[in-house]
Amino acid sequence: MKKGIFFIVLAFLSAGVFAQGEVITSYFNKYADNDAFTKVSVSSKMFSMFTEMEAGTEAEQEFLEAVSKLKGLKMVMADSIADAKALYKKATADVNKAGYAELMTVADPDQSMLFSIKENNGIIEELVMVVGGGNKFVLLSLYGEIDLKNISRIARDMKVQGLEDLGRMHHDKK
Amino acid sequence: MTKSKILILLFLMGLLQPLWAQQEIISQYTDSVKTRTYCLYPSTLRMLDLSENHEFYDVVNNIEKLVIYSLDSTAGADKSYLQMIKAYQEIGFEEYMAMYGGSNLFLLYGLEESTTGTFIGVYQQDNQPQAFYLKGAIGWNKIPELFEKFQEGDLLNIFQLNNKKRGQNPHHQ
Repeated sequence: MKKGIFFIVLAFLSAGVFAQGEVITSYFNKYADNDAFTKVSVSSKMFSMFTEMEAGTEAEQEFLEAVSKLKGLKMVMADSIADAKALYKKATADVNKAGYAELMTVADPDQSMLFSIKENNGIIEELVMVVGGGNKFVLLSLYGEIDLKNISRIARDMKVQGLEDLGRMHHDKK
Repeated sequence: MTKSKILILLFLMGLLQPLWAQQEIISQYTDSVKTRTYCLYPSTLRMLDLSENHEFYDVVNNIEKLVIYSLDSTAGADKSYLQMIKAYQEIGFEEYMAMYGGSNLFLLYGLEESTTGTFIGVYQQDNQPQAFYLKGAIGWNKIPELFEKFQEGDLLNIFQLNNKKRGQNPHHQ
């Protein structure tokens, strides 16, 4: 009996682990061989490199602290597709269906944005961003322990194409 | 030779072999697809920084060796570099970053040792694939600051040294 309960608990835990990142993973797989889409993946190993650094200035310290709790980043993006708005609608529907809590939306005739999160015990474990409009589409997922205050800082300092929209979250919330 | 000396010798050989093997994989792969090889050490890396930027020095100061292999177009077309990366994964290298699709290509894999590491990767520059092998430590935390401060022309582009307009400054064309 005890074994049975143990396996049920384990099954629920596993389901939770697999559920995280499921939307980004499905888009990653779907567009893996499509050259119109750029796929970006930053692993926890990359983020852990920053945690071992000694900060020389206050700005460096701020950046390292923001990055140190991240476990990974995945992004699928395109900047020359014809049906970006339709893909945006589909991706936002997929994100909502997967149980993410909506944090913020920006509805703009040219380009719309959605920020959603997955929380566990008050800690944000995943942030998903969807951007779509014109010919541009971005689906981004950031894993780890996420402090929303530092998102714009990370977006600014990482200098990765597509991340610049993350910075808008903090700015637009003011 | 005493038994203990033989044991120490065998132990050292065992330690050195994986280090040698690490560069051997990329060397073997690039043998048939490389068009040019650039081998850079700390002193030569610092020479690339035309504006003597302090952040650049911090980033490259602990790099022991950087080898860049320019690959021919067949390597880009058939993605044969993925086989090389697979071989590195088999000896413990892990993915740090991957960006691919369209004209974008940047793959970075690494194996961390105590204070330094070995990194290999592939990226695309001017539509030509390049593979690299890097041994040492990179000042990762200085990179964002470096990007902010670098102006076009601050770095000597070694890939333009042998182009058709030889003798001209590649940044003032």
